[in-house]
Amino acid sequence: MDCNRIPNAESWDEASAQQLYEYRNHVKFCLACRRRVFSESPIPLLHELKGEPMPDEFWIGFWESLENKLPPADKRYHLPLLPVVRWAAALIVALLLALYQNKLPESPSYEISRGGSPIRPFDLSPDPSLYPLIEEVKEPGSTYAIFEADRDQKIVMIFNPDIEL
Amino acid sequence: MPRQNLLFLRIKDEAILPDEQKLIRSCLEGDRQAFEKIVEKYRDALYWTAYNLVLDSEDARDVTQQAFLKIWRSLPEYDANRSFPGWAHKITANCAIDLLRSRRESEPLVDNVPAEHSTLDQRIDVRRIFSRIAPLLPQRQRIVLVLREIHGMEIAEISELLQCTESTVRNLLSQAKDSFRKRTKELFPDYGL
Repeated sequence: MDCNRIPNAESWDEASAQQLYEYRNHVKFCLACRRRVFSESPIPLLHELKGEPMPDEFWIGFWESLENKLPPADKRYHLPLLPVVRWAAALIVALLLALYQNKLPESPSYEISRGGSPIRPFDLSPDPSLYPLIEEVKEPGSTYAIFEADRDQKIVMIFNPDIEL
Repeated sequence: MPRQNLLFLRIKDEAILPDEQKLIRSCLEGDRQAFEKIVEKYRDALYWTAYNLVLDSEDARDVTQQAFLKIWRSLPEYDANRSFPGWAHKITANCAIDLLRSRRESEPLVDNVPAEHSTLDQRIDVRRIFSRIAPLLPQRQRIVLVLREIHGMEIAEISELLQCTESTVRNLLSQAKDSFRKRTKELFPDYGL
């Protein structure tokens, strides 16, 4: 490659990969361009630090030491641990909530006593002797009167609003 | 466009070879000899990634071993459609960053670093220059500079490793480049920067 084709170091960021490859190769061997590029900016030359082979002596004992630490293949985890733990925790919380909610209505922790007989707090069915059922009252303006014959008898009378009492 | 091309070149350059696929498949079945071959092939490259980050030969060797251990454990998660070297470098960078985090971050040296006048190297030994200047940079700036400018990692990958935004990575990179230029000018004035 012609030395004139090596642009200013500051503009190497805009070069294509192919151009970058050619520039780097050139400045590796052309001392003049190397000095010029470095004087403009040392950053493009940092690429050369990617590394050269280390001498074999440097790696003596490396594999043996590593091999001793390798777990058996079947002991390797197949899923990232954290997401599994997170999902398991969420599932357990959801299960506990569901169990707790289903249990609440069935196990009142106390009872209310009314008229001598205990009443369960969540038992909402009306007592027909205390509250007589009135089948249909369609007129919202109706009036009513309650006659108490004796202690155990009540007569409830409902009147249309147009009836004068 | 240039960045896309760069990415393409990287992938093409580091594309996984059929032999390597076989080796990885054997490793998945627990074949340690196959893994030894992978270790032999990548140990130098991973060592330099670690060294450029931790700046200490012994620590870099330990980080490389940690990285291979993690690679062995995580192989079942490796996506064969992705570049194996890229994946391995990312794991190594992660191990190196963990080590740097565990160290108490020392203040970068600022003063009392004499300029080099006597030993002007005509070839410009980039390794020697980097070894002088890198310890003077703040740790995060150095990490970003190394991963981006030396190892060609994408900004998004670096932001993932450092657990910060991409714009933070860009800012750190810009600061690191400025600091590196300034320091080179101060410490190596004879190179005419």
